[in-house]
Amino acid sequence: MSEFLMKLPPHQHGKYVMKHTIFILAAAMLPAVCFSFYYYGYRILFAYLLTMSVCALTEWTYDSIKYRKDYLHRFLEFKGSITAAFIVMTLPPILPYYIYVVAALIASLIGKELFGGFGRNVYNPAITGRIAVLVGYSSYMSTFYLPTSNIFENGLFNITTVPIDAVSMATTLTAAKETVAVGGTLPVLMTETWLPSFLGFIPGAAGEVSTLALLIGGAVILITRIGAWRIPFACLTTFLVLATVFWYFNQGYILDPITQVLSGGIVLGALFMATDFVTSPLYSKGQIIFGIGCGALTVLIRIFSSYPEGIGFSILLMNSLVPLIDRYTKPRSFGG
Amino acid sequence: MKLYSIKGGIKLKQNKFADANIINTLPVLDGELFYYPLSNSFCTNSIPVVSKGDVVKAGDLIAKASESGFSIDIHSSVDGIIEDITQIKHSKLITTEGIVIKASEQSGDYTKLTPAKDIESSVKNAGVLGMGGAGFPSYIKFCSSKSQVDTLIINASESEPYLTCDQSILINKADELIETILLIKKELDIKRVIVALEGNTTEQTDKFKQLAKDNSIDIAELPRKYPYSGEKQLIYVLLGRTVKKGEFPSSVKVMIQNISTIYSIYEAIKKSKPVIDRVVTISGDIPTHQNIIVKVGTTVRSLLEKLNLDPEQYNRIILGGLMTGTSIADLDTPLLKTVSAVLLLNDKVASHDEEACARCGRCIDSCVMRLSPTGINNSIVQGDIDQALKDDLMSCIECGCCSYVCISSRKLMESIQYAKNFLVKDHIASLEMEKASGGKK
Ligand code: SF4
Ligand code: SF4
Repeated sequence: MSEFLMKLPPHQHGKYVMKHTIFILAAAMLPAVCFSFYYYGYRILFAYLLTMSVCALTEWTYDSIKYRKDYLHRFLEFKGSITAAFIVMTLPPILPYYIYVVAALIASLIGKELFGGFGRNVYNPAITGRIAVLVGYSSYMSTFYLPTSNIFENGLFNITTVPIDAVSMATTLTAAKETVAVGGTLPVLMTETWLPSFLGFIPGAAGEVSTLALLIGGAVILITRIGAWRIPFACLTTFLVLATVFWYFNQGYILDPITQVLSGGIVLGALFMATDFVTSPLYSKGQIIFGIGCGALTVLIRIFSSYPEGIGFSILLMNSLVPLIDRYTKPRSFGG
Repeated sequence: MKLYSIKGGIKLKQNKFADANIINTLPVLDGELFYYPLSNSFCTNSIPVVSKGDVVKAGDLIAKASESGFSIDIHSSVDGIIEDITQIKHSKLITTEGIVIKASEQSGDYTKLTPAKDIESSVKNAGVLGMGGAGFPSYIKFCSSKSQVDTLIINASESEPYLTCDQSILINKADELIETILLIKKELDIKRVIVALEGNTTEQTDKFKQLAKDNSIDIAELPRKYPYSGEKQLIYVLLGRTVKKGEFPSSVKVMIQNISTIYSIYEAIKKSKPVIDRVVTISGDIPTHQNIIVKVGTTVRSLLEKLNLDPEQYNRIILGGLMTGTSIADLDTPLLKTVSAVLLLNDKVASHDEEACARCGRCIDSCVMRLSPTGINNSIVQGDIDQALKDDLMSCIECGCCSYVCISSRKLMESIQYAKNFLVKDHIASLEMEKASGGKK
């Protein structure tokens, strides 16, 4: 008699599985990655590849040791590649390569595996890695560049050196902080920076400068429902409202809200990092609370702390509240 | 007709290969064995009224409903001799006590039920069950519905893949169905009848639709989404009424019946025929798909033999739909009143390990009961049944959507089913023990 397979219902599974999610996420990051490539050349591409390999290898080794089994299919899902790309995107474009390695190791080991692996981590691993090197190598972290040329003029295979014409320059946010610190005032509306900031021709971290590229990718994430739309919606709304209020009462000392939202990592953070499904709340009410928290904290850090940028810290802080938020925002069941 | 929208549900591949226009009949062979389990997962055991060696005719009562709990009458579906009363296979319970009948020559006739005074008693005497799969005795719906129901909903949507047996009844038995619906409407003094059909039904159902229109019965075309046909979901989608947790449809003045059940009621009232056969869809990865009338108690083995299907060629046999049916290992498992389909599949089953939940929220989005499958699963895995109950474990309708969509291949519905069937009872028992021992101190 032949053996029939016994299984509990349901007897079919959807075609859509983890690797598709990872694939769509990667596709969503592509516009921003391409922009950084166009802007900073092969050097940045090499950084992406390096960080990805480090993340993937760490994960694979860890899984093999932990489960005493070769988890090739897990390895092939390339979950770590998303973390790796985020690390490069949030760091300044020109760094010694070992910093990427350190960030990647910290992200995958401390940010992910120590919590029990993908799905169990409380903190966003990419931000964990980024904050670690931000604190550890702070001198490198404030040096940003504004290339005056792009890869085509720069020599295609120049991966070791800084682009020839790159000008070391502070970001809009740092510059504003410094101006105010030495007693100067800011223009009320910095209209002339709006367009370059939107397109991305400003100094900043490798993947966060071009708001346009990020919006395209963010749209992909939200339309495919990989990230909950409520989080960026709540986060950006709160950010804009608070930034407007503070700006209105401190004109000349605080950047106008449009410049604020277009510079720094707020769009990248809200669309890509806060929506990371592993570390964000499960239920709709909780997602709104989470978004509001991220937006408000970012404004407060930008205005009241010595750091020019605060989205990373805000997301990490809100991450740690997620279990609590989830616990008190459970929806009622149908008819319950 | 205006439909209320409801959160959740999934789109499934339809695979409706079996032609709904034709209903075949499966012959009975001399000496074939028929099995009748005395219980289903829902009901308390019926009590046998025959003993070994008795000669029975089709339609004869062989076990009567027990007085306690939900229970139903069981009738012989063939002419034959009682072979034994022993432990037999059951698709859901593995083994259970049951009656075995050896078929002799068939007269083709059946023993008529004694005429009853109202629908409720004829439904009870005929042993009608919810034929959609749940197996809830139908007479209970009638006795709890008397004069407090204003709407009758007929569920004619089959959202599971492959199944077309309900549709085949709809197409072939339109007159009979309408007649029965009108009878129930009159007897229970119901104001409105709605028949819920699946969206984009073919022209074949036009006859039914026309008849329904002539008799002022409303037709609602549901979107093709699984599982809109769950009772509470259907009531909400059609009427906007919410059945509270732990309540029955009668609490919102609704009676809901499956279309196959309506046909069984027709046979019980008009033909005095107990439920001894039903339409079953035979489909899957087989060459000829069909709808066929099968006698209750037929084993899968003899069904396949008569249809010239070689079980060796398939690796899975599923009784019922793909989402909620039961896979069986033993070909001697009998087909019961609740089995709407036999699916023979031969496919690779991806055996993914369960991974840690990625918290993607897809299971929550898919759940029509607005539960949190991942949260409940977590509590169950950690052994925290209290928390699972607080999260409304018992409201789960076991539709399977959550397991279907999970990107980490977590066995969500499986664990919830297990907890509902076993862990909760243990948990309540242990709580009572604790209370008792605490009282002594
Ligand atoms: S099986 Fe239960 S928990 Fe899962 S989707 Fe269906 S009703 Fe929700
Ligand atoms: S679908 Fe699976 S991975 Fe996603 S939240 Fe539910 S249980 Fe977790």
